[in-house]
Amino acid sequence: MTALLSEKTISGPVMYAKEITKTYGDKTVLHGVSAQVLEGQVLTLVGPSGSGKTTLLRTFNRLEEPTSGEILLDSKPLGKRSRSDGGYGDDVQQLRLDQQRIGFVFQSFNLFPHMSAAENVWHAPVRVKRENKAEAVGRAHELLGRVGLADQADQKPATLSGGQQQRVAIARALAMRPRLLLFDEPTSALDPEMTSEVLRTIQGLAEEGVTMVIVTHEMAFARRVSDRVVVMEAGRILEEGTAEQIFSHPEHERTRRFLSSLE
Amino acid sequence: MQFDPEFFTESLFSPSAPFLRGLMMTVAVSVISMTLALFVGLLVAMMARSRFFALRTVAGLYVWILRGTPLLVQLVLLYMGFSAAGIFAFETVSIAGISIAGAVQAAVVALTLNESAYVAEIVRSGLETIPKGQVEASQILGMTAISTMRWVILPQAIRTMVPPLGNTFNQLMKNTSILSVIGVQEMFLMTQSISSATFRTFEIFCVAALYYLLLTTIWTVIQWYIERHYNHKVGLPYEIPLVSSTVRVLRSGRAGLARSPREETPKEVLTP
Repeated sequence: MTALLSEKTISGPVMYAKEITKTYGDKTVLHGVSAQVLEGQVLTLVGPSGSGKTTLLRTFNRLEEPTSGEILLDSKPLGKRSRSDGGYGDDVQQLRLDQQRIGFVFQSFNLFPHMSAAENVWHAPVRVKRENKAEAVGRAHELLGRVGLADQADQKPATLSGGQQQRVAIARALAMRPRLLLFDEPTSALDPEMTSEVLRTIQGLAEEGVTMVIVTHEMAFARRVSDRVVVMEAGRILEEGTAEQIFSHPEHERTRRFLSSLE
Repeated sequence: MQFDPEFFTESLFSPSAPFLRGLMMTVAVSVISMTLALFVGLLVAMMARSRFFALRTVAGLYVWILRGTPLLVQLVLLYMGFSAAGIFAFETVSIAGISIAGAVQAAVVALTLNESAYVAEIVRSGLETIPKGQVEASQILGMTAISTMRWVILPQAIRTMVPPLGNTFNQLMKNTSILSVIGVQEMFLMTQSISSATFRTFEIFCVAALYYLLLTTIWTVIQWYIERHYNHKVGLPYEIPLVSSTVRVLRSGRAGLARSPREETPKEVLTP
């Protein structure tokens, strides 16, 4: 088996989000939120709808531009290049390179409908990273095998079930050999019977030590898979801790209420 | 009523050489102008989406003027107006041994300009049908704006563009008849000259109408297959009108007459 992720480079957090604020007009959806994820860890963001967890996740690869605050990937500011005066400035090219190192899995899959499952997976490695095509195609099939879709490699997304599409999307993210994977409610658009196959796939990745940040409403899954859990409410962190702490001994009354409301 | 059936059938089934030359001219000018208009229209649509205000403005003016004035006026202005004002005149040129009359060049340029404005609008609205998630998915894979357009947006948008593009090509083919005013020897002008030479106006224009109908019908069928191609590309079914249902009827008819051996084999035999 080839390594799923790129080599370790630095000890310390793979990603550190520092005092992220996000406002839309006069509405503030994130109030200076900080979070970090360590090598090999799984961090889950939970909380009621509208608490800002998806927005926070989307700032991690700057799909959503934070109004203020900083994202560090391997201790370097995401999408910025050092300037001669010692500071950092925005750099489009650097942002593209950094984004390639952060896998993202969308709630609505967002596969490319005109490409087969395999092509979805090898397209970016070949066209963006200029990898050897034969090798990338081979790896695409290997990754599809890993997510249990070896037989579906030539299918177009429209002919796949939601759960299958989401697993292709996971393979597509892995094909870039990311430093970490971000999941935005990966099962919210799925029927219950398809949810479990996707969750099993994600859990498999967690067991292999893939660094991940997951936004989810599946509490049993979050409890099983997380090293750290962040509970958000109204754009702020309500509580943070290990899965055991959060789910068995939540400190905050509102965390307890939120968790019991889902049972 | 005066109708010469002999002249009619002869003109329809073994048309004279001048008529056929006119037909070929109509087809050639249509296909060349449409092909060029696709490229120019795509370029204008891209300019309309540019970050730069100047490019967006130029694209906006281009579409505004060319869609807002009649093709006939554009054509006469280009071919006769410009040369009358001493700005520019189309002259006969010879490419690879074929001499191309100035009027034909002007016709191709005018049709291309006019058509490209419509193509630009079709491309613009086609691009807007692609969900934002496709752009985001490209972005997180590190794709540049240009490669996102090339590999993700355009290949999908083409599917929604084919029906309106086919429609405007259909119109373009019929609009070639106005090229007769600047003396392009296409099918309409040839029909007119046959009419004035034979006085069989009704018969020969019926023949011309049938040939225009034939051209647009052939195009309609080609368009079905193009639409099917792009539907299959995104894994969607496509029913070709008449053909698909006929094929189905023929297939099921055959299956009904003689069952294939596999269908007769009992299921128990297949599963050990």
